Amino acid sequence: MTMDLSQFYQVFFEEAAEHLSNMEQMLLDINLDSLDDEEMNAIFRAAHSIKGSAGTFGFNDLAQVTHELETLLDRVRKHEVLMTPAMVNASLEAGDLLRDLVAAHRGIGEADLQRVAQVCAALKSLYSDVVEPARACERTESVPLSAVSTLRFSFLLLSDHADVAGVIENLAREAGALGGRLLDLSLGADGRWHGVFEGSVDVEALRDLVDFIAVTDSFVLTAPVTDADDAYGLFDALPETLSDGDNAWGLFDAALPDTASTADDSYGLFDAEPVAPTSGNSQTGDPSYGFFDPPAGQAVVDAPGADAGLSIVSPAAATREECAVNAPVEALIAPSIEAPKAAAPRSAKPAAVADTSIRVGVDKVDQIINLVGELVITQAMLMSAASKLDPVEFERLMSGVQQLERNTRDLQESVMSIRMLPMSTVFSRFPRVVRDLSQKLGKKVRLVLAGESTELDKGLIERIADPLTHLVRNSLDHGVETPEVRVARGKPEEGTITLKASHQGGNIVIEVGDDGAGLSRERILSKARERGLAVSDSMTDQDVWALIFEPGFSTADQVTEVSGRGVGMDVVKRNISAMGGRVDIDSMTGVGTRMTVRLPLTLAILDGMSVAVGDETYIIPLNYVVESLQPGADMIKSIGGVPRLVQVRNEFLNILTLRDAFGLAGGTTDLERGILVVLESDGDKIALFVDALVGQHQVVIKSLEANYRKVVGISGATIMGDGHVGLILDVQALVETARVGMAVAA
Amino acid sequence: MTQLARTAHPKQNGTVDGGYAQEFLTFTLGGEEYAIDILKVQEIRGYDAVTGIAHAPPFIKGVINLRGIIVPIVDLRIKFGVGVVEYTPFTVTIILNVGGRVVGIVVDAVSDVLSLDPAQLCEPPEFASSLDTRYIQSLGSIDDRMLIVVDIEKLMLSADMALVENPLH
Repeated sequence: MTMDLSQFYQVFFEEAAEHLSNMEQMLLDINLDSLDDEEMNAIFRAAHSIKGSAGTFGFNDLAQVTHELETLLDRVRKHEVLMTPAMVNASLEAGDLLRDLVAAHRGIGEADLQRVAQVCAALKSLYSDVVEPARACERTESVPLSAVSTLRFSFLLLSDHADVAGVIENLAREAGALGGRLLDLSLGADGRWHGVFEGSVDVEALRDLVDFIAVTDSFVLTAPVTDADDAYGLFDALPETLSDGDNAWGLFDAALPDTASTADDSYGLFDAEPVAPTSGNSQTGDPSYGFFDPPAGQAVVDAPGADAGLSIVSPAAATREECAVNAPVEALIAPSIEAPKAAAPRSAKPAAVADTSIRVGVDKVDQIINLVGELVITQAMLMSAASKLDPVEFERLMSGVQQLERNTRDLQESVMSIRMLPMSTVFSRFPRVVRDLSQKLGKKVRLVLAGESTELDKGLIERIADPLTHLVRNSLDHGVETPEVRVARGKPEEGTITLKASHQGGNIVIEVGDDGAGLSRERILSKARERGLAVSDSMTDQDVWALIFEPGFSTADQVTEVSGRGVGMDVVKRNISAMGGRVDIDSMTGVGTRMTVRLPLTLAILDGMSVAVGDETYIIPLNYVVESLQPGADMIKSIGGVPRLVQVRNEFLNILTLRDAFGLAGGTTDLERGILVVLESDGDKIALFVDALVGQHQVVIKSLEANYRKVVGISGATIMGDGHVGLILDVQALVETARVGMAVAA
Repeated sequence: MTQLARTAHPKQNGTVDGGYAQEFLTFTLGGEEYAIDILKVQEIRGYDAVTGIAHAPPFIKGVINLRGIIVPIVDLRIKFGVGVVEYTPFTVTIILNVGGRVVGIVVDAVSDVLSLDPAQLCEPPEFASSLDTRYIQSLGSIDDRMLIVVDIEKLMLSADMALVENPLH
């Protein structure tokens, strides 16, 4: 019976990508000196999950690679081998290969089978090299391995395990990994779990294992079993080592990993096309398990664990070993869809995140955002209509409108936050990029990340990733010098690349800094001349730095694999401009370079202050407003007969009259009769002169450029409470205007 | 015939070649009658209070809120220098959908929807006016009246109108 799984490919691809990136991140975070078991487990689980799903979907190349990777990780996890940098490298490489393979299955690029073989061989050689494990030896000394024996034990399960079957299933697997088998595990009348374990394992290892899930010190060894009774004989088909994953494992495991992130998806998978379950199996109550139908003629027997809702299928047919592998565990996990949680009882961290997320199409979210935007406008209209009414007479209406405002605001914030992702989703790729590249280039580089929690719209996050990668690579290749050069220049051997994200006013600012050689003015100028660009020696540094964004411009002496072809910086600039952002370069020879990317928070609904000039109303984003004041005559200072500056406490601020800046007809010019709004952008302050302050609202930013074009001094438009269009001031541009104005006047 | 086909809007080629009539919306500016491809017209509405835009040319009156989208409004009377520029309750705005953008034009009055067959359209002579002949698709004649058929998309997206960042021409 074949099932068309292709409709679930997309889910698999997304999840595989997620697992891969998690795995990569964890691999990069590994501290080889003090290996954290939990981390290793998490990495292992990621690989394991991919393998499982890949097996189900018949992506054998993926399954093959993950199998080798998993075997290696598993041995590390069990302290059979020590993690070495070579292993980390190999694992990362395997991760890359997996990503490519997933891409190939998606129809992007070709699967490189040769590489698959290479990576598999590399992984294999790593884990088969080391025969005698380090930690296992220690164990052997303390507690001698018992011969093949049967242990009976009991324990109290931690009460916080919602998913009992998953825990048990995992225990069975872990027991298999210890080199024995869990013959039985059932909940006794006394509330304790009673288990029978057979195999050559020491008590301590078993205790360790059980302690994972049991109430501390509740593990008790009961009398050894001398003779397994009939019921237990059922389980003899259990394989020796469950970790020795073959395809059959993958087949069944698909259900596990999927549930880790989105329980629905994987289950939807099985529910969608239920395979008629045999009568015996239907006990499990889950159509998905029809998948694992035991071969005809097999007996289905209620195991002692039935009181816990478990039913165990006897995999009698020795010829169908695969099924034999699957069936018991499948039955064990049957009542639960949260099995993976059990795989890591102690690592609540990743599981908690994974379990509570749902996958929703971006278009749906956008639709909600649009609707909320409309709601905000409607609410503002109601608000402005209500404000004209008598507050005493319409008291109830007023309070209703006020409550509506609060609710709208809350709703809006929640909805907006759906689309917002922390910068760490982009930053997380850089440790890898830097690590690989610095190794390739023979440089020593430390990556410092800051402001990873700064949130940015998902759309922008996706689009900023490539330009940022390029800037980082560029810093690494061109900026940071080789260790020898650095030492010769009296710098620390290890270079530093800093990635910093922050909110500044209505912008997101991402800085990519390095403490490398800095840009060379002469080199850039001579290169520009070579390329026939119009340059002169009198150009300012800023203008010279901007040349590197010209198409085809590269000052690299050598074309390396990384950069030097001059393709890229222009693309970076173009991409960032397309997002409405800009890139600035600061550089000092010998000290370093800093690229600053500024992006607008385009989707944001902003808090604005509305100001009036004549008949016009403008919105100033509130986050730029420092204060507003009514200037006294003594505060205004003139230069050259023109009142230009206002003294606010001990600062002199430039006065920009909005009326003049926008060439408006109405409005007052008498500084003492209007209001000065002190605005700050990028550390520069100006005092904007307007007629009056009108109020404070939340406004939905509407694009002016969609149907019109960019207007200097205006960053966007919005719809006011009365249905009119209000224009949002571009404070940054205004601050610049004021500064340039001063420079010209001076 | 081939000449006419060439002057007609590309999208309409099939119908023009087949000799089918094309529909136009006609409006007046001063004493002149203009016609535009009706497929470019989204809706017709009154003149709403517009929000002025700083440093915009005089014929760009500003922007309006059209059910949540910001739409610039161009007063063609000012642009072409015809008609009396006044805003009354009878002033009409034609909302156009050109090149994926929504733009409004203010005209004196909307007169009719006419169906013109290729025989009624002819190539305009070269002349200089405030309306560049590049944007005149053809001249139509109905009885004694002359219709100026404007390639409104080309006009609105041109650099002359200062409506778009990257004009077509």
